[in-house]
Amino acid sequence: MKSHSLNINGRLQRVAAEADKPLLWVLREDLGLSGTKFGCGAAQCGACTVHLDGAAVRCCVLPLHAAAGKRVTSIEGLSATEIGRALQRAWLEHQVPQCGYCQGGMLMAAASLLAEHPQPSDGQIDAAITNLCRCGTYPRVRAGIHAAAASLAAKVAA
Amino acid sequence: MRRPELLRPAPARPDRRTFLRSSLAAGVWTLSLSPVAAASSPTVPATRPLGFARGLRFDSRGGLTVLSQVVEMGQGTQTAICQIAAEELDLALDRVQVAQAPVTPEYASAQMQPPNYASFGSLGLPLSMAEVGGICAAARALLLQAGAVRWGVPVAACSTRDGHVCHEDGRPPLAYAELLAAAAQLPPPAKAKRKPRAQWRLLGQSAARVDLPAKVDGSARFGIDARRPGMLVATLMHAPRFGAELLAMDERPARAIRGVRRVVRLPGAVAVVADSYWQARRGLLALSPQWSAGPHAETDTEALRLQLRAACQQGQGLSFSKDDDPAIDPAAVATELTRAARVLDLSYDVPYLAHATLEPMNALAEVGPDHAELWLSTQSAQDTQYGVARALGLRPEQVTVHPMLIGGGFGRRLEHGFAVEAALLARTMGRPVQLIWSRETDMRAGGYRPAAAARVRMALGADGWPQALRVDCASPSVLDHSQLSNGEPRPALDWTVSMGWLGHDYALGPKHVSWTRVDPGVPCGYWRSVGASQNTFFMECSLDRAAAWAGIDPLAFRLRLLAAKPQSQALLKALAEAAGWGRPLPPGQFRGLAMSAGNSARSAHIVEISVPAPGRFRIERIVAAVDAGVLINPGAVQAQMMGGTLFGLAAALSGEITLKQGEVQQSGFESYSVLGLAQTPPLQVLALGLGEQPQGVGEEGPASIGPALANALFAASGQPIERLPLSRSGWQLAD
Repeated sequence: MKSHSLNINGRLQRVAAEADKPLLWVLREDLGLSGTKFGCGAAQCGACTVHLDGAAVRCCVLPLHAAAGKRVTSIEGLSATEIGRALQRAWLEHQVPQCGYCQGGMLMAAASLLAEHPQPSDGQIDAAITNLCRCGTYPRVRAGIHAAAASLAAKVAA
Repeated sequence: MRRPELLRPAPARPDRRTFLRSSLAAGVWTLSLSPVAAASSPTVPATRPLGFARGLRFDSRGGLTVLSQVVEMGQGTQTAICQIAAEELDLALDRVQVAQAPVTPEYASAQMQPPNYASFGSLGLPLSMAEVGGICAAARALLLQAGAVRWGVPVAACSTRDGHVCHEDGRPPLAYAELLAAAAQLPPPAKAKRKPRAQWRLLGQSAARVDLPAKVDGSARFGIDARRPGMLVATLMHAPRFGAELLAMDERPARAIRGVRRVVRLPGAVAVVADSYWQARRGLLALSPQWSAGPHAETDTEALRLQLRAACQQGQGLSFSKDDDPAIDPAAVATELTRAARVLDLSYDVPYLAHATLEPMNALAEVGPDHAELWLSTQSAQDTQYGVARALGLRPEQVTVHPMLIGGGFGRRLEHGFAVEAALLARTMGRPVQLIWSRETDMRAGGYRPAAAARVRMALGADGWPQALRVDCASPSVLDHSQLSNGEPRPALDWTVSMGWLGHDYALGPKHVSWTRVDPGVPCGYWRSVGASQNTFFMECSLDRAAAWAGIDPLAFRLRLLAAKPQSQALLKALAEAAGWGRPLPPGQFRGLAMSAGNSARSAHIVEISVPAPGRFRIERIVAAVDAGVLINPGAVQAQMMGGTLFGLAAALSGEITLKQGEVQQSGFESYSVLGLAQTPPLQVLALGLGEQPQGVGEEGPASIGPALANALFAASGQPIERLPLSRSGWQLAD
């Protein structure tokens, strides 16, 4: 098996796995990063959302070779950014998660949204957060994104 | 998710059949409840040991760990347990933590029938109030006594505050940590006084969920995150038709894939075991097994729907009795139906529903010659233990189960077939095996909310008021299929089908409720809110039809039917006020209302809609109210009601599992659509405590949102909704 070089959460790692093995399973099985979740294997639910060069992607269908040479950020690396920390604080403040299984992916999708739209409208949240949650946390997800956006804006203003 | 009388009201002290056991070892004081005369009850099978224990462990610094059998699946009960313990013991909330109790008979709850180590039916909170609260009150009494002895003063002169025993003269208080050794030597009291509600400082206040920090940084460990050294990973496909068997299969295409270790034939399934999930998955996709037609090759849900409706029309089902509900009186109902000014005669049907938990079923098993160990997300650890023991020929105590965080339960994880599969694979391989179902396997494996139909006849007087209610319903039985030990297996009459019909608060005159078992062999199970999920739809839509015939506002109609039930009235009044029921809506907007009373708590919804085009509607707003009896963690109650509402809304809009020629048609979120954020309407939740006893509320929410929406559509169109999902009644969300 070919060895692939990956940049995961700011660290260079080498992984020996099939080139078409989805990044989700590379993270979970080869790198021991289990915060990225398997929900559907078909890019429908978003539980496996990570950042690839800063953009949210569903890595259950992203082959390893497509991630090689790019910066991958998983939920374990979210707190390295100001946006990530603001979201995590807002998530706790608004008590967003219930079972929590989808929330890693939710947070990664939200972080990518805030990077692109620091003050997202509800319509932009609707368009960006297509992750599925069966516990029904959506109203608090929306509130959490707005709260994180507000706290980041206050920081910039200050 | 049980006969309502099993736990209403929750006892406010430990069960009488138990005694307190106190021990001190290595500076840790452990206090637990232990069974007396175990397994002597004739009503409990000898294989199901009686008794429970709720262990408290004080460390030498006075910090407390509560061992609980309640698993955390997002309902927040573990946080409530911390609140309960901190309240009764006068500890700071952050000095208390919850740990998962070992899966042993000592930790099964004796208040479940039969005693079980399981999390379901919104029982976790009331059980913990009784059991954890009772033992904490006993611990507090012992600490008080130890302090009084130390000082040589009467106990009455002492009190507890913030982890200390205090004296009324204001002398320096004694920290619990200083008294642990002395308290452990004292005989535990037979019963201890609970802290009165007027003195609560933590209960009733929103507390931050203790499990959330790990859920925002990826460190929370769910069942699927379990790991063992040297473990293999498996995935599998079940026979495409329930009950079909493998006829032939060429294993070579799978074995040719790198990393595939073995193709394993299991009862009704083919599994591929490999070094990683991806390899196992590729191996499975390479196989083309031949299956027998099986006993259910003709199953077709459209035909079943007609069959269920026909059974209701025949009305030959078994009837519930006066023992089930004092209002049951078939003779009186027959009389009223013949002399009524009008008889409303309504027919309804609803489909099979999947739980579609986001974490697919999975289990990690390690099996030796005389022992097995499992790590998994399960609501039903003891039944899993027994089920795996049976499958492996072991005794239950030879099977160790480690319950982990659950990525969505909703009743689906009361079944344990996947754990048995994992154990069989681990035994075959002689190595730890983690079995992970794919989404399509999960979606097609059954465990569904049963399809059901009902014929509802309501005798109305000349003034429009209901005089009698006759219900003939038909469905498969949850109890026939579910692996949850929850009362007599396969009773003639399945009590879950009565949820919402019996014991509700409406004064509808005498009742006759019958049920016909119609079962095409599709595995069914408990689905959040259980029988109330369909019966509330049948009942509440019928009430709006009756109100319309009488020309009475649906809220006023219900309030009058609830005249003798002030608690339910108060719930509806609070909801109506919050939603502004009496205020006129903008032109083109309509409202619907429904209440649910099928589980231990009460909930209700008001939905406001507009209809931009024929068959298209928009939900402008939902206002929900839940009466938890007594609020313990209001924020968590709100979250549960919000979640239950959206769970029920998704089902009402488009949820259905269909079968053609015996095969489930849905395979993933593209074909079993669940609600997304963009479709979630504005939602306001009132969390109320209108009673005397705290009730769990996880089951609330799903049942009344569907009929509230259906009633709004009825108000808008004049066309009653008699079938769910709404997409089958010609209604869809507008874009």
